Amino acid sequence: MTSLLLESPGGAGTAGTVGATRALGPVPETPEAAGPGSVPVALADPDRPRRRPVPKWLRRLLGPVLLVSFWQVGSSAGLIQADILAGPWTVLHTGYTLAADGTLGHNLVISLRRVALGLTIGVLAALVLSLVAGLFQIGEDLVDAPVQILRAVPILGLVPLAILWFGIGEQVKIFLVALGTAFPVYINTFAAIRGVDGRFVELARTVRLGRLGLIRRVVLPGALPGFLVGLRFAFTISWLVLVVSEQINASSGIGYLMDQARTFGQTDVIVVGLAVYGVLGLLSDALVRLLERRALAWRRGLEAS
Amino acid sequence: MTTRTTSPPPAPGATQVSAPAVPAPVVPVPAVPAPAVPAPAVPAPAVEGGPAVAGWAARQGGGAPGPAVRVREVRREFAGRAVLAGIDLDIAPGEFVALLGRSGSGKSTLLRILAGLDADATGKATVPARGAVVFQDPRLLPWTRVLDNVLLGLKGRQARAQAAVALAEVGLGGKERAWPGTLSGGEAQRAALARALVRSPGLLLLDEPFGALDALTRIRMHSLLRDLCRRHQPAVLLVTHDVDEAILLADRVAVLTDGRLSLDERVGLGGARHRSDPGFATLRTRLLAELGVTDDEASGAAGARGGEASGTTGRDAPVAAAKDAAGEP
Repeated sequence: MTSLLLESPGGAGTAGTVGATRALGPVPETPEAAGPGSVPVALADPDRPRRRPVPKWLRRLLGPVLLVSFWQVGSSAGLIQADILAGPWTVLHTGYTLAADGTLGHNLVISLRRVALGLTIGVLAALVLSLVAGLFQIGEDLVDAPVQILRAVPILGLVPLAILWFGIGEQVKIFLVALGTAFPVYINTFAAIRGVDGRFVELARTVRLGRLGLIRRVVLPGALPGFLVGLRFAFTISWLVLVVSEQINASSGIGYLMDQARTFGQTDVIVVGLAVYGVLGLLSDALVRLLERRALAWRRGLEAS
Repeated sequence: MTTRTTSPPPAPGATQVSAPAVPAPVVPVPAVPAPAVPAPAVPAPAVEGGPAVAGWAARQGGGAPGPAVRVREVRREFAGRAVLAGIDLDIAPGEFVALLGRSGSGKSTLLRILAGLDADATGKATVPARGAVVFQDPRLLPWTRVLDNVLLGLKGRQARAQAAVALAEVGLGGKERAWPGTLSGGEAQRAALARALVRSPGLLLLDEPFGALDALTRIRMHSLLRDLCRRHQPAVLLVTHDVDEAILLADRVAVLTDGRLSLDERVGLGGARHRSDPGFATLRTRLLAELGVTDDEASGAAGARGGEASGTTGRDAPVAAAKDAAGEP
């Protein structure tokens, strides 16, 4: 805007008037300034001092910090009863105690093991099934319909049946986690295989890639993003299923710790368990994102070497 | 799977055809590429798997240099409408043929048939055992580095070296390890050209390869393509709607109208062609007329008259005459 006005013969272009016209919007139409019906374009004023912006992470932190502060103040002032919700400081202290005497670590390892085993079994099974269904018509006919029907059943509704089958040992938890994680992986991978760009399949024919080459060079890499989306869902669901199954029937694990605390009204222990679950969820999500960054390097468009 | 046997012969009009005295295998068109074609140095007719035989799995044999491509009575219908109503076309080894046609005229359909991508056409067609296609979009696998894209379907250390040479030849030396997503449109299309060349194709099929490029890049690509074809001497079928492009590049120009080749003639303009050549303008006018664009429309001087007259015919004209005319006060 400044240059527009300064160059005009009428000389309406001192800094003061620039600021004023910006505020007013359209310039009063003086024939010297520009042709009739012309309107100044809003441009930045180079002389205006710029404030350093507050970093985004700092701004994002503001909400959570305020929330925890209110919580602490409420607890200290007796507005929030300890048997309803323990204060943040108490929770931190309890967390430290539980970690120090090994209770937390012991149960954490058990929970992690269940998730790791269940995820591995579930993801591998889903991968095999989705490849069979995605690559072969007969596979789709045999596999896809049953999977779609089973998918409609809420996994946690299977808990009673699973207990009858496996008792209340480790198997039932691993089974539930495996079952819960298999569906998102299967559905996303299958859809991704079927969604591979037909133009690439055509290309593969013109360069005479065989069927194996087509699968290895085109279909699998093309379906990888879909698989990773499924994997991310699977991680989330694995913790969800674990929490429920550990709280219903278990004698160890983070969920068991929380359920024990419930019977004794120890809200601090329950909050510690929640926090651990939260951290685990964050970590597993970060793990999948790291995996995505490595596997989908081509998407970033960087010349990684 | 194939490897480049020798560097192509320098003499124009001669591919490395030393054909056996065997009658040319005539291949029914329903054409799916045979899974593994060995592409022999002395091209033997490779007919595999009965009726579903590769488009270019069969090599044109016969006496002296017979046509590289031989198309007879090829028909293709879509929903009862004959898009190709009996096409006859020969392309000699090393010959560059441009196929012009309006949108939807079926020119890409013919190319896809020759590429073995259309199994529902009828008629007869033979093509060289080694073929390569460049599509309008580069079709580089985004998850595969540029060099491996060029190599797609080839094996061996020798092929790898040749792919690097081909990349250098199209001006992409040093981009071997780049991801396709980092290339510009012109670079990506040059990589696609390298992918075609590294196969030493007897037939190079180009499906509007420069249609998506900007005008300046297109000019560069034209000259690159001309050089490459001079050096490698494949038979070329270029499908385009750009009349100038066809005249600049081709030895022969054919026009596809209503499912038939309505015009097929040599471009007698010699090696270095220029738009200012009177012969160029004459041929251009004739080709545009064949495509349904009037002289007035083509020159942009039609005024309101041209707009009326063009009606349906002028829609696909490369020169937007009506628009220019409307802009006049």
